[in-house]
This record gives sequence, C-alpha cells and structure tokens, in this order.
Amino acid sequence: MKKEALSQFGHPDLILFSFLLFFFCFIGMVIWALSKRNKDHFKKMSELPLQKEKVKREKGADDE
Amino acid sequence: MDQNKLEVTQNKSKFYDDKTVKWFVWATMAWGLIAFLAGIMAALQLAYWKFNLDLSWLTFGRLRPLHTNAAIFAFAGNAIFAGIYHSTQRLCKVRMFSDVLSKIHFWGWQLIIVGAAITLPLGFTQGKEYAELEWPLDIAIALIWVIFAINFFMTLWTRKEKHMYVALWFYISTVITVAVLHIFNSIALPTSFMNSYPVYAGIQDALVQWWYGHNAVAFFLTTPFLGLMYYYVPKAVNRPVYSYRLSIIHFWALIFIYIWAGPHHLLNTALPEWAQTLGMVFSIMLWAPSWGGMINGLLTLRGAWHLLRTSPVVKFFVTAITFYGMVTFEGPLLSIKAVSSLGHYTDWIVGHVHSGTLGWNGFMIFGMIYYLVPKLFDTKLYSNKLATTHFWIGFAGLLVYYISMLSAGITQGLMWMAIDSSGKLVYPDFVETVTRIVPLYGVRAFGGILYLIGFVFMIYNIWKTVKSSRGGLVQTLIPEPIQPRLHEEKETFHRKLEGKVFIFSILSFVAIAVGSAIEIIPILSMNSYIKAEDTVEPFTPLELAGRDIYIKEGCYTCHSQMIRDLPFDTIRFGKASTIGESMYNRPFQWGSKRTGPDLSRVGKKYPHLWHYRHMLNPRDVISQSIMPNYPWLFENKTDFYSLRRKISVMKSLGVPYPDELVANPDTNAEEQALKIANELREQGAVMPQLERKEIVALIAYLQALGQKAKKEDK
Repeated sequence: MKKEALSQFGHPDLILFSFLLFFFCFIGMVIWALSKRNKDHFKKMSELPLQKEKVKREKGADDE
Repeated sequence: MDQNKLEVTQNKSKFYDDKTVKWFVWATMAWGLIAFLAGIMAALQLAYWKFNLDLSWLTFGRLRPLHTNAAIFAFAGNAIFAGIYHSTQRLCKVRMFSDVLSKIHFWGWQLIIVGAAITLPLGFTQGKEYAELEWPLDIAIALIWVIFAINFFMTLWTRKEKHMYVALWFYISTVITVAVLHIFNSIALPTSFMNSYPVYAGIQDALVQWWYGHNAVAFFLTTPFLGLMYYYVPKAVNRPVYSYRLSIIHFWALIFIYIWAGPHHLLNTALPEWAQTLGMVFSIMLWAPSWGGMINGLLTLRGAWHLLRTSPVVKFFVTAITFYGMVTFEGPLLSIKAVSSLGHYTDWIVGHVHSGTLGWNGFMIFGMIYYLVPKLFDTKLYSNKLATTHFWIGFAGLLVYYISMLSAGITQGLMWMAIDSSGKLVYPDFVETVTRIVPLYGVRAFGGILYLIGFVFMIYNIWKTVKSSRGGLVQTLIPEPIQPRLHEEKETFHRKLEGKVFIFSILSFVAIAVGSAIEIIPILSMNSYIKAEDTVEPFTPLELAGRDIYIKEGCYTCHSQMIRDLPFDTIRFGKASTIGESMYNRPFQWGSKRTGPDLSRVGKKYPHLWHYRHMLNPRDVISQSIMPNYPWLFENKTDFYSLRRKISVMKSLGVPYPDELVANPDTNAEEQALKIANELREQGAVMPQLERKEIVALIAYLQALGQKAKKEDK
C-alpha cells in the first residue's frame, strides 16, 4: 500500500505545468532571439569583449 | 589628508583592479598543485593499498574528500573568481565595486580552503559528497559568498556599459544558484563545534544532496566556465562569438533544464519512480543546450583555425570545449536508466567526472591563465614551446586517465551483471571484480602523474613570464563604454531586461526555483505517506557512535548502502533497499561508488571477530582486499559522553528515542559496548579495555545494518 502510494505520487499537474511553462517561455525566447530586428543589436553585443582597451599602461600596480 | 585620499580614490577608479585577479590566479595554481597531488596519492592508494601508510589522516576515505574539495572549490573556484573579476570589470567598463570587499572575498575564501585542508584529514565531515565541510565552515562559505555577491552585483549596478554581455548572465546565474544550493543543502543542527546532523534524513537527504551535488557541477563547474568561454575564446581568436542568438537560447535553456537533472544520480534506487523518470528525461533534454553551447564555442574559431597550430591558448580552449561536448554527451547517456544500471557505482563515473574537471575545467583554466598573465604583466609568455609541451603531456595524461577508468568501469559493471543460465552470479566474490581492474588503477595514476607534470611546466612558464616582465603588474585604464547607460533608444522587452540586473536576477532565480521546488517539495512532504516509526527502529546510542566513526573514516567513499532493485544487485547483496530503511539516516549513506561491496545488509552476516580482524588488516579475512588497515580504531576511545548531545539533537529532529534513553545514552552505550567486547573476547580477541575502543562502536553499527526494519517490513 505504502509502496503503491509512493509510486503513484507524481504530482502530474505540477510536472505538466512546469513543462508547459518551460515550453512556452522557450518558444517565445527562440522567436525573440531569431527576430531580424535584433540583428544589429546582437552584432554590437557580440563585439563587446573585443573592444580595444585604450590602454595607457602604467607599471607599478603592485606598489600601491 | 582627506584631499589626498580622495585623489587616490579618484585615480584608482580610472583603472581596473587587476591585483585581485592576480591573487586569484596565484591561488589557482597553488591549490591546483595540492589538489592534483592529493588526487595522485588517492589513485596510488587504490592501485596499492600500502600507500595508505596506516596513517588515519592520510587514508583514502579522508584524502578523497580533500582531493575533490580542493579540485572543485580551491582550484576551479579560484580560477572562476580570477576570470569573473577580470572579465566583469572589462564588460562593465568599471572597476570592481569595492577593493575592501574584493580583499575580504579573496582572503576569506583562502582561509576556508585552509580550514578544509585541516579539518577533512582530521575526519571532521558531514559525510555528504562535495558538501563535507562542517557547519562553521559552511557558515563561513555562505558569508564569503554573500560578500562576493554584493561586490559583483554592485559592480553590475554601477557599470558604465548599458547592456550586459552574455558572459555576465552566466555569472549571475552562478552567483544566485550556488548560494541557494549551498544554504539549502547545508542546513544542519550542530551537536558540537565540529559535528552536526542534517535536518533532512534518508531519501529526503539523498534528493537534496544530489540536487546540490549535480547542480554544483552545473552552476560551479559549468555556467561560470561557459561565461569564461564566451569572454575569453573571442578574445583569444579576436573574433566575436559565432552566434549571439544561440548564446541567448543556450543560457535560458541550460539554466532551466539543468536544475531538474539531480535525480539521475539516484537511478534504480529507492527514490520514487516519477522522480527518477523526471531526472532522466531532463538529463536527456540537456543534450540540446549543451551541444548548442559547444558548437557556438568551437565555431567562434571560424576563419581562425590556423591558430590551433600556433597558439597554445587556442589549443587549450578548443580541447576544453571539445571535452565539454563529450562530457555533456556522456552525462545524459549515463542518465538513461539502463545505462546507469551498468555504469553507476563503477569507475566509469570517475572517468566521466575527471574528463569534465581535467578536460573541460582544467584546460579552460590553463588557457585562461596563459592568456591572462602576459596581459596582466604587459609582456609575452616566456615559452610557447613549453606551453605546447604542457598541452600535449596534459592531453596524453587525460586520455590515459579517461580510457583506463572507462575500461575499468565497464569491465567491473559487466562482471557485476553477469548471471549464468542457472540464475547464479558468474562472479559471486565481489573482490574478484576488484582485483581484475586494479592494474587499471595503476594506469590511471600514471595518467594523473602526466597531467601533473604538464601543470608543473605551466607553473614554471608563468613564473618565468612574470619574472621577465620586470615592472610587475600593470595598470590598465578603463576605456569609454561602447554604449553608455544613459543613451536613450526605443527598446524591446528582452533588451530592457538585459540592462536591468535586479529583474534579470529574479528571472534567473525563478528559472532554477521552478524545477527545484517541483522535485523537492513532494519528497519533503513524504512523511505524510510513510511513517518512519512504523517501519524502522532507530540506531542505539552505541550504533550511532559507530555510524559517526563510519562517516568520519569516509567509508561512504567506497561502500554504498543502497541495493538497487536490479536482479544482479539483489542476488549479490539481498533484498532491494526500501525508503523506510534509511528514514533515520542523517546523513544518508547511499553512496556513489563501490570500490568495496554494498553494506546495506552486512549486519549479522559475519561474527564480531570477522569485523575486528577485517578492520585491523582486511587481508587477514579477504586475501586480495585493497582496503586500508585501520589500526587507530583499536587505540582511539569512543566518546560516550558526546552521545548525550547527539541523542538529544536526534530526538529534536524527530527520532523517537524514549526519554529515559535521552537522559542516559552514554550508560546505555557503555552497556552495549561491554556486551560486544565480551563476545569478542569469547571469540578470541585479546585487548585491554576493548569495550572503550572505537572498533567496538563501529562493529555495533555494522552489525545493525539491515537489521533495523520492523518485523512486518522484514
């Protein structure tokens, strides 16, 4: 009896809810990510790490 | 005076804080060396038991937690912080929020590691994998992590760059999720300064622990490294990430799905079927975002593949990402229940995690350090040739390690599963399945030594690089942002979201909270379905003392206490374990590796004297055993007095001890110890004051295993 109760204890409503929540959020996010109007923005963003550091390097940071 | 201070502060804010980055890089290399040495020692101990040296603090059960904690939290942890401090400042175009907080974070983290390096070999452990540290250190971790979080989030808050690059998203999810995982998994009631019992028991503890354990892999060893990948790989090849779109999908899909996958560590166990299936399905779903990320990382090299021939940094990064792809293929594969029945508890899992930590994390760290240090010191790497040699030696070591463990794991798994036509085990002696793979343990140790040699080359190379820089660390001026925060434009929802740290963090938290709550809350409410007091009897005070010794010696690192509901497991070890049997186990001891046999039903299987001789020298009773000797258990005295506090804490956690036992647990334990000692003497043991020795308490515990189920459940 106990074993049966535990094996059936699945909260299918919660699991279904979370699946649907993930599914619709995921689809929405994919549509947004693939939308053409974001193209320029993404290009700009992807170049963020490549920005040249206008370096005026100064020796001696260890001496602070 | 105040004017001077103001000028110094204003001057400082023009530069990035790279001093903290440098410290974290040095700490990464120092702790990496210790983690690798501990790993090699542990590998040698498995290859030849005499390497345990009969020293309590160096024996495998205590060394293994030190190795894993050092590798994850000291080596990888310091590297993560180095990378996050370096890249976050550059992506935000601002110095870290507070130099003081950075210092507290750095020194606090190192002190915690030192605390771990002292307490774990001394046997102070909570007995939960990758969460072994006792409660004072757990509190210290939480405090230092909060300080890091404040420093990090305030840096984002005060940034000058309008949008947050995708690497920062991965860092945000790391900072939030690690805090949640650590705090929830570590909740325990102290019984003394260095001992505690978790508030969760049995199956609840198992699920919470592997929700933590799996997501420590996800949010400590994966998401921060993906952030580092999205920042440093474009830097190394001077090209933007292959697809920024894919990185967005990668991020949200990964953090939502990962958190569900914990139960795949408990497949075929007593965990309810629905939770196992949920863990398996979400693990398989992880293939998609993981490979999306891997492809995105590798294709960032489009048009620059020639660098793979010439740049050691690129060599390390490309190999690391390839290993990420391989590990994230193998992980879901092992999460299929049928595959898990073969691989679980074997060295296949050990090979799998090492291809992740050494291949993915290790090589990402090496690539990052080879890239970072010359930049920080405004110089060139001392020797590209030496770095390339490091790469090839490390890579060879990695392959030797992985292939030997994969072979050992599959060989042993198949031997465990082998049943002949009459329904009997082909290899009924467990030790036979161990001795067959011991040569591969030697091969594994050789692989580890190669990996360490490569690492030593790196230390030398970096040391020479720093030495050749002459002027030491340089200060780098903070450039103007590409798009300042005050810039006005019409924005879409997600673009606004990218700029809003608080809302973004809340959504990241919700993404991980959904899966966590749905998996854990039903298990925590299981008490309404199954009453422990109807199912199982609690341990006696002496058995509890013995259990604490079992945990202290790290027996769980080699022995499981979970017989899976699989034919070859039940024929070998007895009836499958049930949920009820471990309802009073704080912490649970289901284990994750069987270098020795499962012990769920070892109680009353052998006489006391067998255990006595086995712990003194395992080869006296099993000639081919590779288990260490435990001579100190015959010298150390059981701490009977501490049982007063321990039993009292257990009672407050819901264990139904009668009041008279709670009042005098030490007397009860001493009586039981005397009885066992007398039985041992009758069987031939000769030792003065035997009843006071730890070995007697341990025997009491071992003899109770599998014997606690109430009659109707037996």
